[in-house]
Amino acid sequence: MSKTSPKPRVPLDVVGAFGYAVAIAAMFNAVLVIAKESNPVVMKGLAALTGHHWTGHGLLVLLTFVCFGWLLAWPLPTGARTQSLALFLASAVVASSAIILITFLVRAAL
Amino acid sequence: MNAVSETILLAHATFGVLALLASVWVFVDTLNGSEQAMVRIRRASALVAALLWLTALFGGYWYLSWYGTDKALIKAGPWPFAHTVAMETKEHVFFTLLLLGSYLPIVARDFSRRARHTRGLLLTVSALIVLLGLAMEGAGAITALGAKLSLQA
Repeated sequence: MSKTSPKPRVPLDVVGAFGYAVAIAAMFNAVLVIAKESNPVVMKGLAALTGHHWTGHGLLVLLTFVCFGWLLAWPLPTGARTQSLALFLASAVVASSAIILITFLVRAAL
Repeated sequence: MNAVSETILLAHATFGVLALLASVWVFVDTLNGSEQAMVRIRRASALVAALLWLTALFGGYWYLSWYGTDKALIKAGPWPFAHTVAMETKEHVFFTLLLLGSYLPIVARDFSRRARHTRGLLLTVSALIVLLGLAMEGAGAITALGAKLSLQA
């Protein structure tokens, strides 16, 4: 009987899935900043979640990451996913960070 | 402010810098790509994640327990932007940094199993952690200076 190669414990699709999840959660982070800074109802809602808006915000961002990572891992993988992922991820991180900075710069200026 | 709060704040900054250094380690060893580097990459990536979570726990606790006093001081002082821009940006961009740090070991584990096409991804994620980490340190320094200037005013 021939031995089969061992199945990796972290399949490739998990890398791709959670990579896209990081990008999605980063953009959601930026959108949530805009939402809560422009709408007191959102700020209060986040505070009601955990007692402070910052921890409520963080919890939602982390949940977004986990949920999307899990959801995106379901479709059958291709190795090609990770090949374009690096650029997509970097773009999302830079864009979301810039959006957050600009949001607070604009708020400070007004 | 007391010795406990200052110690917790110092721990937050220290763990942050250590996480940044560990991410540099991951980046350089990924460039190296030798067999010996594989094990180090996995361990260093796990270290990055652990250190960033410690940074979050210490920083988050300090922020919720004691930052309110500093915030009022900074906003009333000569550098209100130290809170309204620097600290506000820092406390929200940090979530993205935490996600990257949590994701790094996942990529590292895949890379070390000779999935070489994740090399670019590992380099990208570790580099982003370093860049965001430096931004965090800078924003934290500006915030601290804002508080200091307020006390001197």
